[in-house]
Amino acid sequence: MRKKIQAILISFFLGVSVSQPAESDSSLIVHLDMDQVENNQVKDLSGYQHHALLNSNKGLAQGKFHQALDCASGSFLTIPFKESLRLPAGTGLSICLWLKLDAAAVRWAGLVKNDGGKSTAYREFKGFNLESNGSSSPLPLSEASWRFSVKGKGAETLNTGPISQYVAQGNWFHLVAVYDPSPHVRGLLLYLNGELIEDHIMIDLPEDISTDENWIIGKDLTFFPGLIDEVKIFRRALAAEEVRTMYSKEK
Amino acid sequence: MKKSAVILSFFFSGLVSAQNLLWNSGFDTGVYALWKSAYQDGRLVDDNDLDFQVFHDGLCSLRLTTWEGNYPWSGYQISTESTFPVEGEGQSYTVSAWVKSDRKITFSLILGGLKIQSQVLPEEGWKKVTATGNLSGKNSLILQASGLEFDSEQLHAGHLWVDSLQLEKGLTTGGWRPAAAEIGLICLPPAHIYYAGEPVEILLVAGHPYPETATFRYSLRLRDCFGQLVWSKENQILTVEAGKYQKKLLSFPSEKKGIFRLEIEGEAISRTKAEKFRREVPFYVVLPPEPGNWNPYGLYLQMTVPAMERASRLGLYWNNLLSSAGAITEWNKVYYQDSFLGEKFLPRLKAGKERYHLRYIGNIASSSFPAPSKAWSEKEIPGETLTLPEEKKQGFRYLKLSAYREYLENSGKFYSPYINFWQIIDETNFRGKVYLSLVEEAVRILKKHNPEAKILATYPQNMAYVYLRGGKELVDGLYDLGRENKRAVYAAKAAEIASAYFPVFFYDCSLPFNYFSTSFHGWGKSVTLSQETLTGKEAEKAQEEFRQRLNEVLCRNLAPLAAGVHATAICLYHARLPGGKAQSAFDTWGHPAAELIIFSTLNSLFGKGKSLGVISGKLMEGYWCATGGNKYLAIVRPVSDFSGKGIQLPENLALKQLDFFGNDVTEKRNGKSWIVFSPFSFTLIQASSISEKQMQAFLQQ
Repeated sequence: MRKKIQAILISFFLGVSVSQPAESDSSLIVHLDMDQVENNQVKDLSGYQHHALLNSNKGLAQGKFHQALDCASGSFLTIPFKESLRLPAGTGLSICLWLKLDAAAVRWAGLVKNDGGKSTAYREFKGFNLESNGSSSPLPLSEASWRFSVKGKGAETLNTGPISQYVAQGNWFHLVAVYDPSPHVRGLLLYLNGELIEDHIMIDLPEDISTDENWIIGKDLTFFPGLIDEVKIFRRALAAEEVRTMYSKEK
Repeated sequence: MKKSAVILSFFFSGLVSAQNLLWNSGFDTGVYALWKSAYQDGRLVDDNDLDFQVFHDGLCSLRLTTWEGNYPWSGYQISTESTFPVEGEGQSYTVSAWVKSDRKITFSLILGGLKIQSQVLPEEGWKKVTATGNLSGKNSLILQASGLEFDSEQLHAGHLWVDSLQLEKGLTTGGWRPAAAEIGLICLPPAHIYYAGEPVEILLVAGHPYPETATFRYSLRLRDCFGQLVWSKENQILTVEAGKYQKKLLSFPSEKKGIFRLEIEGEAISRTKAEKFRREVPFYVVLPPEPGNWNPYGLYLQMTVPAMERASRLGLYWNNLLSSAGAITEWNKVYYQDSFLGEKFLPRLKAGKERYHLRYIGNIASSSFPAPSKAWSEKEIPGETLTLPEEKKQGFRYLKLSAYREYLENSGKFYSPYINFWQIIDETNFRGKVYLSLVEEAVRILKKHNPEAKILATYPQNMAYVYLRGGKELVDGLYDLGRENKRAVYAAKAAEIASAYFPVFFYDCSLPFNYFSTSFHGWGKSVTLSQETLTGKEAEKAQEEFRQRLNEVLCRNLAPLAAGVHATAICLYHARLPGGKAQSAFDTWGHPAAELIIFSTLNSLFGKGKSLGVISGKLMEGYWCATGGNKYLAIVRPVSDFSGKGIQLPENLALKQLDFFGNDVTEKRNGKSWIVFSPFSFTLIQASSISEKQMQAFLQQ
């Protein structure tokens, strides 16, 4: 948010429209700050016009910075598929979000996915899915974990330790999921508040995790039980230092 | 088969007492005559545990070897195979046994409600222990020996000899005598393993309690693993005088390799009594180990230290502690007692002609790292502790790196002269950085003691993590489960990350075969408790299932990996037999797992051999490997459109078709040799003394 204010101030003093540092990165393909909403459409600030459709006009609440997506009330976002969302084979992916958990238990709570709603259990599943795990009933945070799956010929899933190990209910935290298929990394990496908390080596490396499906934010089998703010998705693997810097600047 | 016999006589003595109600109570007719081994953490009792030098009565005693003193499950345990009834509700009985030890050992005997627990000291010599009480109904008998003291100078906490068990009616006990006419078959080699080319020698022993000479009429039948009759000898006679035992040495050539059991059935007849009997003993005939070469019939054993003599009989590999409890012992003795690992600890290793190959550092089961209490820190100390993952009950734990390093130092110091391969952490739940830290420490210290030491990471994820995040120099191979195709393929993919020839050692491959089999377990019997030999359709079903599972599980799933460029070894253990307990290497009858032997065909362990990759010929497809010494082994099947009856073998090539026991089953027709395929099934072809080029040309034709 500091960045946003800084950019506004700069543009005010210079009298010109100034791109924010992140937006100047052409790999940033989605940036939803949840603050610029018109007719249930959340504006994408990346420049790629990947605006998201809000399923409800009551889906926003006080967020980390200004407004946030209130998934607990049953809201989620849909980014209609466009060719510019396609992830060429071998391309990395980074998903950055600010989250606030407002529940003591979760059950397959969705964050971001492009898998068309198909479970990883289905053979035809392809794409990525960042979510919490679950069971037939909600799991307490001491038993639930974060889960980041990728599939496209090859398939791998990162699972963290218990969510309660990392975050407390009611606190804002910064979560970054990175898919890095480069040969020397082969990693699914999960950062929390700038620190790497899980590093899963992809042995069965997917060839291509692109789909023609819409991208969904905030919902999988169930809605994320809390708030989501400042969503940024990069079409590349962010380096650890970049994640740390992003957290430091935004926190 | 030829047979020669040597007949010897031995007397048993003692005051005549009330009738002894326990059969084979002096173990004189072998461990397999009415006794069986109860599975205890990979240990077993077999005829090799009979002591013909130290005994109280009859021919021998049973020697129980206790575990190290601080091992929670001290001692072997055996129990009577058949329960026996006692007459009269609540009548008084006296049970007794003669015992002797070479260390301070606690002997326990549990028989129904009667229990003996006695401390046995070396200076006491043979002593008789008794218990009196009431018994009724059916009863079973359990013997146990528990080491009491930890001795840094000895491998075991000690031996306890038990002999001359007796159960008598009433409140007193007299001299020992057999309960009934007894006959048994005894295999003396450890684990009942004979080498092909050497004679199979089995002792036939008979004795009886009658006051006059008795005649034992008997028939011998040798059966293979499907219950099929291999050889028989009917209407044999052995005359046994009163008060004597007689031994007869049965000796026959080991022309055929495989799993066998010798049955003896008949009747003991005296002037006053006639008693029927039926006994059997299992044994194996395998190729002797070939140190230096790949041993296609090799066997990997993961057993406890007392089982080392059995492993060494196969000249192979040991990984001496199976359970987490065992690993605690390992940590304790290495961390605290480095003298324990001194020269006296390693007599069998030193006696071995070849180096033993594999050993692990640590062992994790039930999600807990089994280090001794002194190895833990109460809090995290940067640079001095390693924080282990949070566990539900224990939370985070902090391992002292100094303790782990000391453990590694001692392990490296003592085992490096004997061990080439080190597996780092078994059954781990440590991932990522924690596992990498453990490996880094191990590599640094173990390679200091032996720069040629090879370090194997356990599980594909861990191996890949160490390789990609730690460094290529840290791991030399992957040690992973091979029980299912998907997992094995995943391991091969992990190996691919490291390099095209990065070695994978597959273990635990036998599980899908034997545990899920409904008919075959290697002993040619019904898989129910009936002990009946398979006959007719049952026997056919067992053979069919054997072929099918062998083909599906081991050939189709594992052969690509066995012969593939990555696979360096396939290790079979965790044999879980129908009728056996979970993870039991013993079946309902106490037989050790036959599968350990039969599938060893696919082992390609270490040595000078190498995988040579895929065969894709016009007639055959499959995989092949060099086993050293200009020998090759191919695992092939006909291509789908091949409808011929076989392939004629070129006369200029020394090729043989083998069965899965390593027997030559090459078909001869009109003076020519043929390989005969079964539809869709893999078969084995062995070549000797030819060049790789010649073999390749033949396979790719």
